[in-house]
Amino acid sequence: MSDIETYVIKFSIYAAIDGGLDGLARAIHVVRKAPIQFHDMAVIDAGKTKEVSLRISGKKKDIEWLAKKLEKVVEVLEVKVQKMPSEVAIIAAHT
Amino acid sequence: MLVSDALLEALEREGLKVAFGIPGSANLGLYEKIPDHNVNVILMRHEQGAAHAADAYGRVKRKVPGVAFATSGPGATNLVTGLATAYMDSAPMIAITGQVPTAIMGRDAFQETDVVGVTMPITKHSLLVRKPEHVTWAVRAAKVISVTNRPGPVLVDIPRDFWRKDIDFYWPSDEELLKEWIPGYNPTPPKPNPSLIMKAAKLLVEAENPVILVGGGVWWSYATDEVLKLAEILMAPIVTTLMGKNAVPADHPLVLGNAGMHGRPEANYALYNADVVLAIGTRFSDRTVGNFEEFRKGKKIIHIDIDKSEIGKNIDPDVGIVADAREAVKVLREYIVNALKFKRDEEVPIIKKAKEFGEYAWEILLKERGRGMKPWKVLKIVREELPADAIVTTGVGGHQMWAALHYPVLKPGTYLTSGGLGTMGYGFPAAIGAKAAAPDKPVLDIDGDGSFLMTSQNLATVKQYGLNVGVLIFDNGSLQLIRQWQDLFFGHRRVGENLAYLPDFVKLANSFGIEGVRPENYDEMRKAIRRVAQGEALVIDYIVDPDIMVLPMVAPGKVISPENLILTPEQAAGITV
Repeated sequence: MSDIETYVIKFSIYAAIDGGLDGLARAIHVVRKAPIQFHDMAVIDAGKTKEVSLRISGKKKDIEWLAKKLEKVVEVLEVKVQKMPSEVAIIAAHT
Repeated sequence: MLVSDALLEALEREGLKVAFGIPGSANLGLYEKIPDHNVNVILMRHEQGAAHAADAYGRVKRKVPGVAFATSGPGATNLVTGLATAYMDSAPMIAITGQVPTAIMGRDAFQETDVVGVTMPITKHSLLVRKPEHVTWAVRAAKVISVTNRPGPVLVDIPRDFWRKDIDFYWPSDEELLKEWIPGYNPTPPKPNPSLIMKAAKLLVEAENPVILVGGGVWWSYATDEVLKLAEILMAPIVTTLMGKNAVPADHPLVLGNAGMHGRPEANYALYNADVVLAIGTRFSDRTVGNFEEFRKGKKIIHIDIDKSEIGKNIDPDVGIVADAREAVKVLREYIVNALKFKRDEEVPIIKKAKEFGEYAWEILLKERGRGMKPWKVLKIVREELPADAIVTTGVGGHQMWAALHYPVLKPGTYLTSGGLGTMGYGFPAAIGAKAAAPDKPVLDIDGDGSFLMTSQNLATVKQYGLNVGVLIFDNGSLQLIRQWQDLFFGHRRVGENLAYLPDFVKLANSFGIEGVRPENYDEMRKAIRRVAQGEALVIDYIVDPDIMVLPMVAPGKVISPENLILTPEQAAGITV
């Protein structure tokens, strides 16, 4: 049985100073280097923050490592990881 | 107040009074105001050197990052290698770059580069100042981020048209800064989890052969004394990573030296054969342990690190403690002593075995081989002649590995090397930065011919500012480690390792107004090193036989175990990498 599963990582980026693009770009740099498969991403403007949902697949250990790396990004306020069936993940990532 | 004055005032208030850099059109507005402030700017001859000097300044000072100034475009991109070097070794530094004016930003203006974008993956943080009044906030944030938690480099990019803008100077409080500017950043590391401390303590006291692996984090967290005290309670050996070599005194009876690909045999023996490894402030680099899975077998791992993303990244620990190293080790020791009432009276058995293995290996390794003065004998002279608190920097290559093996660090904080990125050219500008940070200490750059040549233009800076450092060049006319790898693992096909047409390093030094010597025997070498110890700027051209390989070594990809140690070139036969 494959140990690859689908997850949604949700995180907030502090955007009050620069609009949040730099924080988002920095977060994407972190995701690029993670040993995961990227599916898609949604970003919603919430005033002082940008709310990001990231749908990815990978091993639990690597997903958790990615979440820890994202928490280190200075603009990132909070990171939540949810494991879910892939069909549900598609919906969750976009709501 | 003008933005330029506000930035310099901010640097002064943060204690950042030394900067290394080169002016250009995008930061001339900043340079214009330097004479009005107590900020000493040292002109380097290439921005890479400015970054390395700032990095080294921060490594020596720890809580005061070095500062590098550069203009936009090529000035800023020339900092990139230095920023990556600092990032990989967790060294605090701040780069302040000029940017093209806001009106033409993004239009491919002359000397425009998106340096914030370029440096995102190789800095702890980078930011563009988007409003003139943000400049003091940016400097405060850069300082806090660079020196707290796991230290690292921060880049602040400032558009050229801001320098002469008039603003009301505002100095944000710590609370304001953290709440309004960087609310996602917590400068306070978490406290060690008590239940994990108890678990770790139990493993350590029940272990037959515990070994402490010290990384660079021990230096950054001021944990040296706590680590030594814990080792003395456990009577366990300390081995180090290359960065950890800078964190513990080599003459402590429990310190076995640095482990790794070119580690000391006794250290590698102990680390590989430990039943419990307590790793402190290290990321378990492949250069330290080799093959992760093989290394992990048959031992319990306790990993203490301030950066939670390091726990389990390369090696899955049995106990992972996210905390400041000094705090965690202190709590761990107190629990072992006070709650478990434990103290070992005799050294753990692995120390004797490791030393026996070391004696066996060194007898082979130190046999006379090659022509001329031997690197290990020269480095012995260096150690004998330099005072304990002298600072040594290194470039990257064969000489760096020789120094790792044969130059014992007696006082923590006095050995600066590019361990993570492995940046050739680091050693010489780093020596300049170290000298600026500690003007009363002798500073020697142990360098290679190839490595020194990459940043040697900064000899002019040494002369101009009287930043007297010595340079000991291992001159073997080749990229020695490349040659060695080609000989050992690539069928003796030497390609691109021959440094033909090297300059005469003595004449090169002379051309910058600096003395140079080429010792021909050990006595002359000793006299030359003594001159450096006495504070002279001196380039020492040490001619080394290129056929003397840096051994021991472990082939890349192999687990770093006693069985895999290559002690003679013949032992490498048949190894594929």
